[in-house]
Amino acid sequence: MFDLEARLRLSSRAIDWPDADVSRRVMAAIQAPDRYQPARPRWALAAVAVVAVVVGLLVTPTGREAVANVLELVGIRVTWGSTTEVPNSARLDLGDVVSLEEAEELVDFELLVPDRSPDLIYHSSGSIHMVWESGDTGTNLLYSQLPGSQIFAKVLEPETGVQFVRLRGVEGIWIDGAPHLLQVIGADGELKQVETRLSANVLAWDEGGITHRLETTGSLEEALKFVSELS
Amino acid sequence: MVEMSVEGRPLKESELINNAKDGVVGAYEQLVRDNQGVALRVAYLVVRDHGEAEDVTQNAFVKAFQSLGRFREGEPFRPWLLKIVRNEALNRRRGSGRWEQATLRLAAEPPSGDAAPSPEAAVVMGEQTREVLDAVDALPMRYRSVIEARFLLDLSEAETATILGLAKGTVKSRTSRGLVRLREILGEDDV
Repeated sequence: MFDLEARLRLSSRAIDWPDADVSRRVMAAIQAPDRYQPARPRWALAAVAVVAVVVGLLVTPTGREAVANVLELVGIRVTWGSTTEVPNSARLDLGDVVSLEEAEELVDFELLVPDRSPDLIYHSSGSIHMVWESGDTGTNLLYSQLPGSQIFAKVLEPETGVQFVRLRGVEGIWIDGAPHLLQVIGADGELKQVETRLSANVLAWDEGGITHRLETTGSLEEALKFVSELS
Repeated sequence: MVEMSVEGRPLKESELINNAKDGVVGAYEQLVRDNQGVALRVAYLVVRDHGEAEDVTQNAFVKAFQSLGRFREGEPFRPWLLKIVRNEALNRRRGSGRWEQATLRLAAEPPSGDAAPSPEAAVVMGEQTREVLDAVDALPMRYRSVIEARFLLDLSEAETATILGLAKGTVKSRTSRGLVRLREILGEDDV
């Protein structure tokens, strides 16, 4: 009998793979009017957006709306509201406690897991939340992986910091310093509010249609270190 | 048509990329032709439908073209492209609201170059192949995607790492653990 690796490779040869020539369709789409220019690097747009945020926070509400439009270009929409819209910060219902193995079986995407094992893992509606607790200070780190992309952030205070960061080959957003709401368009097309704790800083990014959200009382550097250890 | 330099030799991939960035239409078309086979396979493993795999691959090539400015010179093009294809396929699958996984279709004919097996042998081979592919589908996603990339797509560890956004060491360990899980599913773990 062949070993398993050889059987896998043989099985691959038996698959009815698609073999169409898509080159004409691709070139037609690229050469359609106003499409035939390679896009500017997205980090350049992000850099523009970061500068615009800093400027926008110092100017009028009208200016802020203009900034929001710039931010939307990189797939994350930021809007500004008033503190009267601060939601209830009651303790989050994260779903059912599960093991790591159960979590991997329950979701239909590749779960990222950090080096440091979480204290608790929860499953809720196809999303996984990992919690690290720190003694009597309560939850100090919450890492969520939610199906759905398109991140909407609502910044509630002018002093809230918003900046784009590059991580894992995509752009993410770091929000710190003051209350905000974070919402995600789910796979079912519905807008879901995922922000529930308002005291912590949040790093959020979209990777292959999964929104990753890290809430921490720590700094951006610490958050990026956590992200670098995901695998 | 293969894009040629003024000296008449086929252009290297890095030259094609630079030409494509400069707006040379034929250069990007050549990159599409060179990479569409594996791109279609990556898409098909996710969406499990030929028509959708073609749509996904087309969109991914257009997005890759629009992102060429971000492509780092000197890096291999294929894994960079395939990561875009896979993300596009995952988005398509989630966007369609279909969460259940269709099974992979098997070809009616043996691959070209293979001697035609007897009808009985063909049935046995088909059953064994289906059993192996169903077992791969039954793996948790973190193992399945690595096993698919390494053995069904025949990608290197480095390419798999880039496409899945993992460290090379993680690809190695997940491959090893994935094979163990696969043997368990196939009931061969005590062999």
